[in-house]
Amino acid sequence: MFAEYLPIFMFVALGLLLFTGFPVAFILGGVGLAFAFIGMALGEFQFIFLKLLPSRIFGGVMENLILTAIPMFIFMGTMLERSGIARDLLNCLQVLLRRVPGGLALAVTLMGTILAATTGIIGASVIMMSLLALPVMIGRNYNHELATGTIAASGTLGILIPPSIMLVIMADLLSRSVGNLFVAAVFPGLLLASLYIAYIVIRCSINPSLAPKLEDNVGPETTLGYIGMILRSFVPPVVLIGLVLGSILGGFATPTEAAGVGAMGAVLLGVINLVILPALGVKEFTLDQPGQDTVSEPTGVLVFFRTLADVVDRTMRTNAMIFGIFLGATLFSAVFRFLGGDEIVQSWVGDVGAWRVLITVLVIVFILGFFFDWIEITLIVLPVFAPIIATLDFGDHVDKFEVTYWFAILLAVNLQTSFLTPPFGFALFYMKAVAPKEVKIQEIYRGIIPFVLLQLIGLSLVIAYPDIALWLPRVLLD
Amino acid sequence: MQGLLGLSRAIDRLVSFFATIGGWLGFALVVVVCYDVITRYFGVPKPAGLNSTMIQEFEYWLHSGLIVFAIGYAYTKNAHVRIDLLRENFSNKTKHLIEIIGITIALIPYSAIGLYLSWPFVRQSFLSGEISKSQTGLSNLWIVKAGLIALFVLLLLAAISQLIKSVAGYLEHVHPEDEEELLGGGH
Repeated sequence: MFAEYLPIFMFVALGLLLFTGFPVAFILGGVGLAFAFIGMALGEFQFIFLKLLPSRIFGGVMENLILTAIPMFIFMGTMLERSGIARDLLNCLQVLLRRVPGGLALAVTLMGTILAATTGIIGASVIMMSLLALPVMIGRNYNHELATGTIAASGTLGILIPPSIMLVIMADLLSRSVGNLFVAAVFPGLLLASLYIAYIVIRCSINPSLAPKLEDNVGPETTLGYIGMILRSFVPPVVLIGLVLGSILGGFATPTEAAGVGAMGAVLLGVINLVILPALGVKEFTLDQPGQDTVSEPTGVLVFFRTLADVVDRTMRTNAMIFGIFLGATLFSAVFRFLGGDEIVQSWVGDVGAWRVLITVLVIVFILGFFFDWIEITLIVLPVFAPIIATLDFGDHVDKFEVTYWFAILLAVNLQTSFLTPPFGFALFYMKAVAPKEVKIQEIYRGIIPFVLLQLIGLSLVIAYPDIALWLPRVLLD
Repeated sequence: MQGLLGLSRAIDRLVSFFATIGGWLGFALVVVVCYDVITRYFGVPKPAGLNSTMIQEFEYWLHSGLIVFAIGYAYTKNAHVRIDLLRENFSNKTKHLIEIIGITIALIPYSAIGLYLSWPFVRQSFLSGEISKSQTGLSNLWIVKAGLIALFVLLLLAAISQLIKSVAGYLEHVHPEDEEELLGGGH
């Protein structure tokens, strides 16, 4: 009797122990091992299964050309951030959008959309966006609620918009093509971004005091300066991301190839930004008022190499974090499966109908999203539900073959919403941690609510009209 | 205690040395992918009998190198994800105690058993002279499989180092700023 329910106890133990604050990667491994031994003591598990572990890790995590894209996407994003390209892009977008209501908020949304690649881990991306944009918005007397809501929503958009690392891992776990999943995510991602933009423009048109406009004397004065600014700060990152995505979506390159070329492109942009342009005497482009003291960033070959070493180190740490959990989850889910966990889950959700299963999984994931980042959720929960998801039948609503892609997109939007929902949404905690003192947590909570509603609208639309996700893969890839 | 802390610092340096190699293997991965793409799409011939299969397999070798050298190091730098929800409210002493318990009952067994299981796996590959499944792939597959041993050895070392630091922290033998670094981090 007790032995039968071991997989359930396993999940309970994991859930409780995670809150001790010991690293997730090691708790997964420890709980996996502990239950393997308990299983052995009860005669439910044989040591021979454990012996398969090295080949599982090797085959699943190391000898895996899909996951190879992840370190390079992380490298690309980190490089764009550390070499100042992300900052320049934000400055440039601000100047370009200064006549539009809520220009700066729109700039932040667009940057979140364009630089989605930078945003691998929710914590890191929200922190980057908050550090970059929040002081500027507050300095320009933006309404705190609007500013924080925009940043949190745009900063988490990266888990959905390709090249999202989460989608790479989901595709791997669900045994589907990364390229297809990327294509499926394009319209849902753009849909959400458009909802944000529409909301910001409408709100700021009604009440312009929420978002004071940029002074006219900021930025380049001549047309030539304007063109120079666009060529320097806007075109390079947009072209780079466009090439990376275009080559994957167009089917010219595998995600791994595109990631490698994209990472190299980011290095070249770094060289241009830190070495070549300063050597040519091109002044750094800032948004300071004339006469204001400009603190110029150091540049030169040495600075570039220091930045490169820094990017290499940060990329390595982020990968260690992701793949550490990957390893622990491999052990955990292997033991879970050998103990009969799959059958238990199957018997629970097996007969209740596809829609009930869908809603149940979405709700579970939504609640888990209050406490865990997508890495833990996708790596622990997805393997459990993956076999069930593949067999779901939604009749005429979704083609059977496409269910998995649709499901993955729904999970992604759902997770993003969960990260934003107060009082738990932990994107908000990260933001509070790095926000200037005058921003209160209540303001962050109030500010995010409209965006959570927009997310729910987006989620419902994708549920009601699966073609939002599935149409583009059909026309592009057939 | 000071002697043990010295040992911990020595371990950290060693682990960090390998991690730096791992980090640059990650950069090498970028370079190799670009090389493969350029030679393949622009029809540049590859020297010395190299072919695309070999290069692509080498890519996952590099990817593996990055992972196996980095995971232990990340622990010494507190870069692994923790769920901070309750932890924030714990006293420093409690945090150290949790770390000590976690390392002894979860992490050390995990890395020790990982090591114990990896050894025959790598040995088998070495003795049988295992080569890639594809005809034109790389030989000496044991090299990359041996990465598993490196992974678990480095993780075990990192665990020992962190254990020493946590015990020192628990006994209040560390400087406040070191303690900050030891406990800091989070999600």
